[in-house]
Amino acid sequence: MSTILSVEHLTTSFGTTSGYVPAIDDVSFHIDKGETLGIVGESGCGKSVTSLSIMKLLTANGKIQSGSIQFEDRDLVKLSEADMRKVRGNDIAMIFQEPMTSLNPVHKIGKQITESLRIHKGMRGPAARARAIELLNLVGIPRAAEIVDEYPHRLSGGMRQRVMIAIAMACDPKLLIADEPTTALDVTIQAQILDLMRKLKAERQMAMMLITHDLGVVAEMCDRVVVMYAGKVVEQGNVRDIFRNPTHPYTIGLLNSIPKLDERKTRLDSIPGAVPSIENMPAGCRFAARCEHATQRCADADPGLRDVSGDYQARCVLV
Amino acid sequence: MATVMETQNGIKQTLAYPQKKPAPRVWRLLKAYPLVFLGGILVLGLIFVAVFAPQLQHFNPNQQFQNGLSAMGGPLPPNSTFVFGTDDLGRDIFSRVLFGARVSLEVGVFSSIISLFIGTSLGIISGYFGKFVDTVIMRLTDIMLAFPLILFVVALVASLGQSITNLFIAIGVLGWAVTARVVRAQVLSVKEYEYVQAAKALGASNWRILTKIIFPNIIPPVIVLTTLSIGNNMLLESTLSYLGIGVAPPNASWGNMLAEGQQVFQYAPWLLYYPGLALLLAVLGFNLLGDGLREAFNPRRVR
Amino acid sequence: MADVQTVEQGKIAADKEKMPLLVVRDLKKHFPIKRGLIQRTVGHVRAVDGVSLSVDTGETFGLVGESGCGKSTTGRSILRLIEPTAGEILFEGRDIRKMGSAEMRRMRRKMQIVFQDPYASLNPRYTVRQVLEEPMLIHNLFSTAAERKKRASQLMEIVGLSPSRLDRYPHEFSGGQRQRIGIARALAVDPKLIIADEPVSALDVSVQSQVLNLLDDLQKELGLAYVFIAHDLSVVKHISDRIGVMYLGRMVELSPADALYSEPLHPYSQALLSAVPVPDPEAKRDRIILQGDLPSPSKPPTGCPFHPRCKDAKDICKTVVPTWEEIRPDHFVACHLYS
Repeated sequence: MSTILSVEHLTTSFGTTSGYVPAIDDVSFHIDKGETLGIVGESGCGKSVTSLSIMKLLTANGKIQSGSIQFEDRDLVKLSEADMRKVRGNDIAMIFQEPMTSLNPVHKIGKQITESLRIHKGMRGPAARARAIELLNLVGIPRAAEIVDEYPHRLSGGMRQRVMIAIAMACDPKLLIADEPTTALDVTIQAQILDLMRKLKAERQMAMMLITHDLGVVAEMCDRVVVMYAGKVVEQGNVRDIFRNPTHPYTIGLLNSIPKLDERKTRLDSIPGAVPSIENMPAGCRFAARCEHATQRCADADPGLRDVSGDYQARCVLV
Repeated sequence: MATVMETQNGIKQTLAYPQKKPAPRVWRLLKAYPLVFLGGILVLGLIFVAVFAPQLQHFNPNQQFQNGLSAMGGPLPPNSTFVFGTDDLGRDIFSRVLFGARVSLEVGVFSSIISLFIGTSLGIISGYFGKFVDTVIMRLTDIMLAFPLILFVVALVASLGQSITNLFIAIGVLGWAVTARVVRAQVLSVKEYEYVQAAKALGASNWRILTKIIFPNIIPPVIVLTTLSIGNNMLLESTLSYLGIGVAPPNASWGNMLAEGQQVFQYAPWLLYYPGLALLLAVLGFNLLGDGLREAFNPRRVR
Repeated sequence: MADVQTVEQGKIAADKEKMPLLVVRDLKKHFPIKRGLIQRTVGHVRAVDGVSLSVDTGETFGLVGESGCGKSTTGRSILRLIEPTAGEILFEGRDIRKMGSAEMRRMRRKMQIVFQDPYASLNPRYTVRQVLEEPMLIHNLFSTAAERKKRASQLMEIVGLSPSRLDRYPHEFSGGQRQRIGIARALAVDPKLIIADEPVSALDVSVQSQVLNLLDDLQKELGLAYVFIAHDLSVVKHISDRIGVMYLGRMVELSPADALYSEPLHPYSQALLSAVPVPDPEAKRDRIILQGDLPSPSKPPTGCPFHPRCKDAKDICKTVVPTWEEIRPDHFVACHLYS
C-alpha cells in the first residue's frame, strides 16, 4: 500500500520563560492510503502537538524545529502559509475534541459548511447549499434541509460533532485527522459517532489519524497504533500485536491499568508516579523513573526505537 | 506508600535534571509587564511630588509676584527664576503644578476609597445572598450607571458646598456602581468554585466562606479597578475644577489652571502645557499600573 | 416508588442492627426555569425525579448515567449542597432534611464529598496544610496547632503523599496527587460516607488506577461507604458492589454490579453496556446503537422517559410510567417489558 503521510524526525518546541522546550522529540511515523492510524497516549505526551504540527496550526510560541512532514509529494514543513491553506480543509481535514467551541456560534450551519466549498472548490449559491444538505444527510443528521439554516446552539453535542464531520468531509479530504473526536461525548453518542466515522472511511477510502487516550476506541477503530509517552514515540505497530503482545513496559502498564467490564478484579495494576514535566525531561529513557524493569543503563541513554518484528518497533532496552 | 509513589526505584536521583533556579517573582513580573513598571514609576513620582510639594516648591503657589509679569503686564514664559513660567496673575506655575498634584491625588485616592468601600459591600451582599436583595441592588446600580456621573456630582457638590472634601465625598458616594458590578460578578463565579462547595460540604459557615474564601478572591480585581478609578477620578476632579465647581481659586488645581490658561493660550501656551502634561502623566500612570496589575493577577499568564 | 419504600422498610424491619447507613427515598430536585423582568417561573427542569437508594456501611454504591441524567445533582442533593425539592434522606436513621443549619453543619463531619476536577476543588491560595487543617478548624477537632499538624501529616501518609510536601501549594502537584489531597481533606473529619462525584474522570488512565486502588484500600481500612458517581461504566463496575443506572432524572435499574454486567434488564442499561469500547481488537461486538439524543429534562417524554430511543418500546411505554419492581432478588428495574 502506498504511503500518504510520512512524518520523519519531527521535533516541535514551545517557547517558555526558560527558552524553547521540545513538546515532541524526533517523532516518526507514516500513514498508508485508506488506513486508520491511532495515536494514543496520556495528557502531555504530545499527541495533539503532533497533529497541530502536521496542520501547521501551532500557537504563536510553538515552532517546528526539525524534521519533515511528507504529504503525497510535498513537504508540509517547507510549504508557505498560502500553500498550506490550500491543503487544510481540502487535502487534510481535521475535527477537534470540543464540538461546543469548534463551531462558530454566529453563523448558520449551512454557511459554515459551504465556507470550505467556496474556498477550495469555488462553489457558491444554490449548488453549495445543495452540497451542504447532501453532506448533512451523509453524516446522518435528520431534517438536513432545515438544520442547514439553524445556528449551532440549537444542536446537541453529538449533532455538532456530526456537523464538524460534515465540514471536514466537504472537500473529500485524503486524510482526516480526528483529535479526541468523542472524548467530550457520552458513551452512547460516542458509539454513534465512531460508527459514522468508520462508515465514511470505508466508503471513501480515506486515511485517518485518530488521536485518543482511550485504548478501547483505538482497539475498535485502528489498523495500526503509535503509542506516545512524554513527547516520544515509545511503541508502534499493528493494532493486534500491540494489544496482544505489547512490548514497552508503558504500554503494558497502560493496558493493565484500565478496568475491564468482563473482569472481576479487586485491584488494578497501576503505573506509579507521574509523567515528567516538559521542562524537566530526563536524559535517558523518559519512562525509566516509573518502570519496574529500569536499570542504570535506562537512565543513562535513550534506547532508541528498536525493531521487534517487521512493522513493529519499541523504544526499550528489553527488546 | 509515600516513598513508593515518589521513587519507584533507586534511580530517580540519577535521572534528576539540573534545574535552573527561577528568577524572583517580582523580576519576572517586571520583565513580562514593562508597562506596569512605567506606570508604577509615574504613580510613585506623583505621590512623591504631592507629599513633598512644600519642600519642592520654589515660591508660594498663591503669591502674585511683581517680577512675575512682563512689562506689558502679561505672563512670563519659562525662565531661570520661574522654570515653568508664570500665569497672568504673576504666580509661579511650577509651584502651582506641584500643589495641583496634591489636590488631584487627594481627590482621586479618597473618592476611590469611598467608592471601593460602598461598591465592594454592596457587590458582596448582592452576589452572595442573591434573590430579592440582589435584584434591588442591581437595579439601583443600573440607575446609577444610566445617568452621567458628572451631573450627579455637580448637583451634590452644589448642595453640599464647594470644597475639596465635599468633592471627593460626592465623587466617591456616587461612583461605586462599576465596583459593585465587578465584585458581584466575581462573587457569583467564586461561589460556584468546587472548593467553595467543598468548604460548604465540610460544614463551614456562611461567614467563614465569605471571609476566608470569597473575600481574598475579590481583592485582585478590586485593586485593579481602584487603581483605574483613581486615574478616572483625578480626571473628573480636573473636569469639575475646570468647570469651576471643584477646587475654588486661588487654590491651585490642574483643572482650574487649565481653565485660566485657556483664556491666554494663544500668546502664553505654557499655561496649558504644564498642568495638561501633569494630568496626562498622572492618569496615564494609574491606567498603565491598573492594566498591568490586571495582567499580572491573571492566573493564566505568569505563574 | 412506593414499592421501594416497602422493600427498604422490610429490610429495616428484618435486620435492625444492619440498618443501611444512608437511605434516600423518592428524592426530587426540580430547578425552576425563570424568564422575564420579574423572573417568573415558567417551568421546571426535573433534574432528579424520584430517586431511591440505600447504602450500607462499608459498601460502594455506583451511580452511572450519561450527562444530564441527574447523577451529580443526586449526589449533591444527598449532602444538601443543593437543597432537594422533595424526598427523605435518612442518615443513620435520621432525616437530614429536617435538620437546622447548625445541626446540619455538625452532621457534615459524617458525610463528605470528593469532586471531579482536582484543579478546581482545591483553593489555590491555600497550602496543602491549610487545605487539610480547614476541616479541623471548622469542627474544632484539635486544640493545638501541633496536633493539627500531626493529623495533617498523618492524612498525607494515608493517601500516599509525603508529609514533607505539606507546605506546598496545590499547583505544585500533579492531577492525581491533587485528587489524593482532595481525598485526604474529606478524610480529615473521619466521615462514614463519601460521595465521590466523578473522582477519576479528569485523570489519565495510569493515574486513574492509582486513585481507584487508593479508594479501595481506604474503604477496607476505614470501613467507609461510598456513593461513586461516574459516567464510565467500566470504572463504576470495577469499584461498586451495587449499581444504579439513571436516565433523565430517574433510576431505571438497580442491581449488584456483576448482575448488571451479565444480565442487564433495562434496554437502556443494555445499550449503555454495549456502547463501551472494549480494549481488545479481536473482541466480538454486537453493539446496540441508540438513535437520537437525550431529551431535555425540562420536557421529558411522557410515560417511560426512555421510550423514544428504545428499540423494544411498546404502546404502553408512551403513556404509562413503568413501576419500580424487584424482578430478581436485589435486582430492580423500571420497565414495562418485565411487568
